[in-house]
Amino acid sequence: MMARSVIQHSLALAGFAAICAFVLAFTQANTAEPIAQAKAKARAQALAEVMPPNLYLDPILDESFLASEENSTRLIAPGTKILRARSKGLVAGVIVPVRTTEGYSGDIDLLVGVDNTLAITGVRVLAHKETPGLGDKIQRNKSPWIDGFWGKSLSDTQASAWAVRKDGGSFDQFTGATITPRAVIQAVYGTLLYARDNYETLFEAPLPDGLSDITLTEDSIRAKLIGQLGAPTNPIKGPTYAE
Amino acid sequence: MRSDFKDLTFKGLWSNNPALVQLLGLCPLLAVSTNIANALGLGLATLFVLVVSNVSVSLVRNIVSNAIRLPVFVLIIASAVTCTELLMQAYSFELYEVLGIFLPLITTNCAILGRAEAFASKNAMLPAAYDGLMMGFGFALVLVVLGAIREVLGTGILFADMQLLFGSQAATWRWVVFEDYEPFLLAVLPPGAFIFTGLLIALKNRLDQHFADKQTTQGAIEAGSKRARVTGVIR
Repeated sequence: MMARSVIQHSLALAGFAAICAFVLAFTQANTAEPIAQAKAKARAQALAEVMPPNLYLDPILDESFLASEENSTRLIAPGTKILRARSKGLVAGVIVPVRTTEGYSGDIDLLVGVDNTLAITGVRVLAHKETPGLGDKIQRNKSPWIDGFWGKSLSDTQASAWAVRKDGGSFDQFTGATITPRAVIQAVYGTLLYARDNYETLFEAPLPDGLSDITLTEDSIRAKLIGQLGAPTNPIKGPTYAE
Repeated sequence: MRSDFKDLTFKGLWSNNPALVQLLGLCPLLAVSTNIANALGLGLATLFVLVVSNVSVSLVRNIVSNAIRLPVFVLIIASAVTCTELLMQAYSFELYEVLGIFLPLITTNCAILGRAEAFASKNAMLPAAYDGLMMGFGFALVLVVLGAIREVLGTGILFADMQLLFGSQAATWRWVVFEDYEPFLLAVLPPGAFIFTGLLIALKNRLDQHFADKQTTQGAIEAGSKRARVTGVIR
């Protein structure tokens, strides 16, 4: 009697499990396609925000450069996947995932776009645990602050200017939160230094003469590089994604 | 039958509100109610899961024996949540990213298993669906009210980020209530969530008491007028 009821119940439970599994499988099969599309769209959007599509011609492939043990830094861990955006096969810019540990509460994950003149093409925060309402102004959807990095380079912003205004730099801090923007600024600056130090591997080209020389203006470097690479089809301008 | 539904509405929204009276599902309630957009997103997702799980549980209530009742209910709820998650990922990806971990955590929202066990497993499909709807509304309502309080006190803004739910035209709904507002940090942080939930519960109890008092005094006058000799309040 006892054994029979155990078997009955087990079978009933297994039956329900099978039905649920079927419903789940059905839903998954029917949503797999839209989910893949939504993910690809979100990724393309995220990439476009740090690397405006008018800066390069070829589609960004999954081809990536992995930071090795030797050339990794505190910000860019070994094995970090760095994406390359190409124009006619030449590297027009790189997209570097960066993680800084200097946030107010926990790590801040960033995506930093750097073009081949070593100017920032965009910065986005991927994940952070900063204080809501204060430190979260680093998110683009909360504040346009992070757009302030656009076009900044080692040549137009001196080492001491990579800081919040309070520390004598050229970037705004937030009311009530200084540690967060400080961490982000240092991470972006560190990424530029990294790109300069590893220019040849990242951009597959020798470091152009002027780039380590901070007396050259950004425009003259651009002019020089456009001469080398051929101008992009669209003139270089600010980010074009929707506000 | 009609009064049954009226009763269910009143219970779900007020007298047996899952968030304010049953105190179920506090984890998502406190964590996601930092602004109206997030609160509404999770509220609607919970509402949907609650209706689906109540209907499914009610449909199988006569087939499932007592011994395997709970595992079956958990299976149903978990499947409903996973389906919701997949659908949201497919058709509202941005919102899915915002709600993040709290979407799968709807499974562990006791309000849902609680309704399955306390109501849906004992009632026909239609009342069960309606109960799920009203309980879900009650929960979503508290979430949104709490989200609004915390958003306006914490940031001085209401209806920020609504485009995540209603498409890009909703971005214009953003309403700056206080210009140059100094953020009141506590409102946004978890302790603020506890404090404001407590205040909401206190307010509800106060209102209940107020109505009860009113009814008693009215009742006393009526009772007194109809009887010749009264020694006390007749209820």
